[in-house]
Amino acid sequence: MEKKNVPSMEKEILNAKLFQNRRQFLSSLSIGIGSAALGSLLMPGLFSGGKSGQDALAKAIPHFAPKAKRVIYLFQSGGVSQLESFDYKPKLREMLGQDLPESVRGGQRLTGMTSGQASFPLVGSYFDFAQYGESRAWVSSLFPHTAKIVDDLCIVKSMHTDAINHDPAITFFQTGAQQGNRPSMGAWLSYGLGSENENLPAFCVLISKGKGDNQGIYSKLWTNGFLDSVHQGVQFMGGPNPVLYLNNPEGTDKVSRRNLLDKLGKLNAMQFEVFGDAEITAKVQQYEMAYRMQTSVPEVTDVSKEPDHIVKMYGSECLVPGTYAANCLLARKLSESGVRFVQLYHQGWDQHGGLPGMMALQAKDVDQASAALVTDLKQRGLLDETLVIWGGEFGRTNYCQGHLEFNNYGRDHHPRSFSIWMAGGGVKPGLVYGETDEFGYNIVKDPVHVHDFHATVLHLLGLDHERLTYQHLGRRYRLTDVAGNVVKSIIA
Amino acid sequence: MKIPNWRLNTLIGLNCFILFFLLFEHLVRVPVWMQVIGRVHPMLLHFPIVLLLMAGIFINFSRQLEKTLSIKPLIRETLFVAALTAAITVIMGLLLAQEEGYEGGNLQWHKWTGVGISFLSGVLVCAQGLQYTRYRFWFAAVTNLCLLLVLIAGHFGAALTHGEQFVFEPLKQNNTEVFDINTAQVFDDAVLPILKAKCLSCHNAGKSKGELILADSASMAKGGKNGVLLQAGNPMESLLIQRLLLDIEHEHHMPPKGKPQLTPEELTLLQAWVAKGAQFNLPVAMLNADDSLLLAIGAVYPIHKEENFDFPAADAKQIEKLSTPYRVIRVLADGSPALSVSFYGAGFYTDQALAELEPIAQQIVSLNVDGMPIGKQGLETVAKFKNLRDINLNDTPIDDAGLTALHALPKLGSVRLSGTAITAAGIKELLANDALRRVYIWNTPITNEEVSQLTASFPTKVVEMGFVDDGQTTLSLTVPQITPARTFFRDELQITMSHPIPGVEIRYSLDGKEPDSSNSTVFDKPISIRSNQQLSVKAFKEGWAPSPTIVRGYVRSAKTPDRIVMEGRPHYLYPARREISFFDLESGGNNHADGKWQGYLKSPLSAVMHFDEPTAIDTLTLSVMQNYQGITYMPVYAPEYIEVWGGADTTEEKLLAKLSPVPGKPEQLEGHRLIDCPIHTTNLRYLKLIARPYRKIPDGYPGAGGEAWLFVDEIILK
Repeated sequence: MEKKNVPSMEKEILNAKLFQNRRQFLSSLSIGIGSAALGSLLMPGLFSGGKSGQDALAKAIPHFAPKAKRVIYLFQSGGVSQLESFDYKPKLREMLGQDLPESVRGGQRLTGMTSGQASFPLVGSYFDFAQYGESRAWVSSLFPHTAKIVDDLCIVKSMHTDAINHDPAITFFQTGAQQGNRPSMGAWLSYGLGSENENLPAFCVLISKGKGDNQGIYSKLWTNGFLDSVHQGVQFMGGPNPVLYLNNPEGTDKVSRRNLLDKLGKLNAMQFEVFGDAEITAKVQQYEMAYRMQTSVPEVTDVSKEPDHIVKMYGSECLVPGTYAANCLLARKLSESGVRFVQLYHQGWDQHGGLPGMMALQAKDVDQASAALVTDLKQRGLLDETLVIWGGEFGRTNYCQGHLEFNNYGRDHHPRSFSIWMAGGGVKPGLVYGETDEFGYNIVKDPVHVHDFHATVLHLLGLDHERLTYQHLGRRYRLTDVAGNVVKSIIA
Repeated sequence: MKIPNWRLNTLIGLNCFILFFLLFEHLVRVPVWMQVIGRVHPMLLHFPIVLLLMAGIFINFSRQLEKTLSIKPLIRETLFVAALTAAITVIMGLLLAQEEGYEGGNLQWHKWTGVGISFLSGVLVCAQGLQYTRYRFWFAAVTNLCLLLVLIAGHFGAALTHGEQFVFEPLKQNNTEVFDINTAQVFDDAVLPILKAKCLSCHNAGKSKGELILADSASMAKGGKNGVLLQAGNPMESLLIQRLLLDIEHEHHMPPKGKPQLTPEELTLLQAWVAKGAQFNLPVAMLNADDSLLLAIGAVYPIHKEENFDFPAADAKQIEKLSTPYRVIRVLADGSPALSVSFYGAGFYTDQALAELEPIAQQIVSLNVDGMPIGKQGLETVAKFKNLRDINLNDTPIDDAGLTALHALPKLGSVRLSGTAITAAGIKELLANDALRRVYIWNTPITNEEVSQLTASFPTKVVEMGFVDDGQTTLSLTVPQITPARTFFRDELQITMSHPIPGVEIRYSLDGKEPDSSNSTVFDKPISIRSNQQLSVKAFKEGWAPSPTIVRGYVRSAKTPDRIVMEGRPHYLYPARREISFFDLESGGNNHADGKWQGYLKSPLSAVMHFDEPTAIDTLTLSVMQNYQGITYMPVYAPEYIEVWGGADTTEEKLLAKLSPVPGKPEQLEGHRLIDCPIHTTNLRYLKLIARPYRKIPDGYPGAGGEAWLFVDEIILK
């Protein structure tokens, strides 16, 4: 008996030392669980696992109430010089011909076009600047129409990017990565928000050629990347056939087209059952949309019903298909008809030489129509829900490339600072955001990186850039990669 | 036990000092170093609170505690330290209160309850022996009264430092604190609260430093001893703003250093208000969404922009059932019950389609029927969407009568009516609705004067007129489009012309004369061109300046070689269609990169043409571009020289022509140039053309010394 008692006594002693036995432990544990439960009341999403966000994405519902429903992106391909447009640097004129201080350049890599130059002579804007509107924003004399609407614009003077050459820089702006094959911004929006008008693509692309040096624009910029191919951008052309291969072939009427699509749809459905490839359903959807587009596209591209004085707003070129002005007008019509993302490209901003003359021609191409687009959206009550963005892929250097005269000079690519503007869609109007140094080389206040720009645009459209993801190759992808902060200060 | 004398004396001494201070408060001038002592008040006050609480527990539960504690000395010691710290805290508080900025009911309550605590706790220390006698009840009662005072004093103290309603603020958030953008006044609800919080303590009716009162509009308009406070529309000239903007170290800076300062946002708001005219009765709702004053207000006050909808969500299945490609129903945001509905495709719209939405009528907050042929019945349906916030009726057949349907919508805030037939009368009736904030009436029969009348009668509402053609600007017409675009032809060319603007008259001449608006031939049927001719075209329309004249030289290119072999290579950027380009009849336009121009830099153009039959050729013409402004920094010149070799076959080639075209004068340069090379040879089966771009541009021409481009679009044989 005694032997038996020994371990039990030891246990008692142990219990006493621990000040606890099993029952006590369990009962105090229950209190602990109770308090944990109490604590969880303060964290509503703790046990639901954030599933609602994913569901919303599947249904293409915005994460939160959007400020903008649609985007029109007036891309100025080639790299607009900020120094001749919105970033006024009088000091550069004073210092004409003097060398750019090495301390300002800070050993930055240059393109092969100027890295071999013996000197980097500064050159100021050939064009005069003045302040406009209530916001007193500086605008150069190249953009008289834009100057009239500065109070509707949010000019960001502190954009910066990672790339120094056209292709990677445009690709970066469009897809959030320099290498390509990632989905374009419009594709992400189409994926995140769906189409407003199912009779038109959610993502449309319009291209116009400028008078300057036209750098290439190619379809990888409006790719769906790894997203479903329904999100791909659809290019609209100038002329009688805005969308290629849309019209019925000769001898086919609407009824037989319908019959064909029905039969083809059945075949495709069978095929889908065998393979389960999502691309098959995407294809069927595209056929159906193309069929509906046969009526919706002529409706939307018909400018004959526009009042006469619309031409006075956009300039008379707006009725010449394929011009930037015509594309602006078409962009408004597409946007008005519920196209989520209208991407315009105007080529020819790459002024390595002969900048004053060439840039004047380029500005003349775009100035009036860009301003008219903003005004036109405003007068129809659409500017509040449409975000208009105007800008290129990078800026241009403050020093001259090649031959230098005060009225004839060139500028190389400059990724460290450049200007863009945005209007409508929940952006603060009449705001000039960010500052560069007196040389217009480096940003001194409120830098906005391309990732930040993307995050902000998505935010305006009601999407959280960190939650707009797509699983591909074993990981989630975002438009903003693993960076990007919403620039709250430019949101109204 | 008897209390040591020194303790009693200390307490009496301190409390007497308090009494004295209170009596002669208005005469007291606190030296700077003592202000430091005063500022320790918010820290020290926690001691008497806790100690009194402890004493309270000991006294109220003395019987229970007696079993385990020696309660008497505990009560004695706690009470004494409590009373001592209470008295010191009160003195510090009184010192602190002498500083500017502490005034009003809260302070009075706090002060007197604090003094009460000090006195009562002192009394308790003196009378502590009583607690063991029959006065025990009274002793406990006074202790509890003391605790009650602690609570009151604490509350008002917190109100002083954290602001009134600090404790219950979170509960109230959804009700009164929200800045109601629809009813708020700029001055009363946005400007005055800032002044009250930051300025009123020194500039009130009771205490008006600098003879300035900032409590109401009338006294503000009056100004102070330094003159008028506000210069409407000119913040920088306004004394108020000037003082606020001074450097904080400046002696006239307001609020004085050490006082609560204005935040940058508040400062911006005041500036924007003065800039807007410093009006005292301007409703916030009258400001445009992009008005800087409204933005400044938004930065200071929590304007609730996102609406919380008070209706239940619609059935998801119902929404799905009603959705079609032409009637798109979308949820506003994740978790929101609100829906927005858009109709697309005018050909598919019927009023019935709108009526079918009745099951979700409650949830629709936004409706877009832009361009749809909406009828009376449709508008009657719209009248049932009681929660509608905005409607897009642009380019619909709605008229004034139809507009009355919208009067029934209590929450409708924005109506888009661009491109409709509505008139000022209809808009006027519509604007009478309270909720309505904005109407868009561009491209309607409403005139400018009517809009000014409307804005005058409804100053709080926005009537967006948009772009108005003032008739001052006469635009020039664009040039007519001429099809085909090419200028080379084999035998005959049918030319048609068109202009995108309706009603444009296109006139032309074929004799090289500039077309005029009266005598030149009007284009009405296709023109047939059979020989080399020059076509001049111009567009005319009433109210527009005529278009620039376009001149097209049509060139017959009757002969083509049977084979062409390129011996040189064009520049890799501008290869056009290589050898095919030379005889494809496609002429290049103004754009060198249009795929029709073939570019050469450094290396010459060298092409060999073979003919199966012996052929007689009179002239070889080379069509080139000239542009001295340059492409990729190098100007485009006609070639430096052209050589034409030829013969019956390759072995018998001889130089048939060699010429160096004189470069065109920069001031009268034509973009297009035809260079004729006379050959006058028969029996040719082999012809070789060499055209070399300038390697060194001659002196006296743009870009002298540098290289030049050569651009060629066509070779013509005659």
